[in-house]
Amino acid sequence: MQEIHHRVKNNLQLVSSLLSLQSRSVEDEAATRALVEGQSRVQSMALIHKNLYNDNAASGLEVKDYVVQLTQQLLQTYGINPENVDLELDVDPICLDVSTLVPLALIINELITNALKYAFEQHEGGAIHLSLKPTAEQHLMLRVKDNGKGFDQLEASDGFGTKLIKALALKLDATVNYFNDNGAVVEICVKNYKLSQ
Amino acid sequence: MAELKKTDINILVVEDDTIIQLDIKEVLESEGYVVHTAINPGQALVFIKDSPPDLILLDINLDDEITGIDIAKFMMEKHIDVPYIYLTSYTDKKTLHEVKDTIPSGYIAKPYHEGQLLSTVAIALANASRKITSIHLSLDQISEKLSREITEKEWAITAMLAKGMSNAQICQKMNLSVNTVKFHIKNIYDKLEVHSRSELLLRLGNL
Repeated sequence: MQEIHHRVKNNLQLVSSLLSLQSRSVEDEAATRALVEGQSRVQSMALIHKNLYNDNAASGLEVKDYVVQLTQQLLQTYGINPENVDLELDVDPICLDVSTLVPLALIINELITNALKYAFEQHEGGAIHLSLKPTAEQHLMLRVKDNGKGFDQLEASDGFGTKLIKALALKLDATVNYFNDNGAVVEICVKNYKLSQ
Repeated sequence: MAELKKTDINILVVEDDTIIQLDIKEVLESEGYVVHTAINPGQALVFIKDSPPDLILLDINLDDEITGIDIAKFMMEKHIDVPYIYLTSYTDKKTLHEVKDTIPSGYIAKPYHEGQLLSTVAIALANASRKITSIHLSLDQISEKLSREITEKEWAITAMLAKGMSNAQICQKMNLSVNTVKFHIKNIYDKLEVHSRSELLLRLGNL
């Protein structure tokens, strides 16, 4: 079993390295960005696997620890000084199974990346608020809010990130709600999720 | 602390997967480090013996009977005092226990993140240079912290050991016989409660 875990991590490393190498060898800015974003998605999955196999029998992770690590990693990836962004995380203690955590992690990756990329555009004083809590109906509510310029149009754009979130939401039987409230807000209500034993 | 220029810093990357190796090389080079590579233990050992680098990034599983941990143990035995960082996808308790005994300067779990890789390297290099400058501590300062006093002569030899001088070089410099120098070194080790040069350096760095 240990050997399989080792191979999974090594292969994720290989994929990450391939994307990283290519991102440095292309000249076109949009292509570079796309490859960096691709690598970032692999890295957010890798972070799950890295944490997962530290404990032998674990089938899931404490989501709070994971979100803290993921957001720090994203700030590093996009070269953002943590002092320039007020990042507030309000995550309930929940242990999620890997089958839920992977798509959820990819969604969080997209939302935080978007907020970092579009909301502030190098300005200081940016704030991102992320909360993840069970609702009264026993759904899981993910909410990401920034204090940037908000969405241009509330009809979700046809960008790749949006497409990805839609597909991942389908997997989690989740509704996605975009709106503006002194900045952009995205609410994702997950109905199909699995807690870890 | 004297700041070393990155272009003066040689890093050896020991990694059997050539794609991953290339990625690490480029990441480090983009920061200005001089990077050398080895894809198997044989290449690594030859490089380490011929031209000891300032830092080694060491994969554990090298697709060979000899592992990265063996390379680290070899360096300890031969008193090759080069700081090194394990870079591996093995994070199980057994491996962690085994690597602990080899006193690495860091441990990076794969898949690594570029930022984490660079910060671990920077910290390891900073610690290594601090270790060397700490030798400039005075004998009085050191003696205060030890239960048994170190003599002036022993302290002079300690400083030479810390600089990486061989026994023969120390004999020549101090105008002493090999046996006398060995005798002093044994006393130094006893007083500082260490068993090797690398342990001695670590001990001095922590005093």
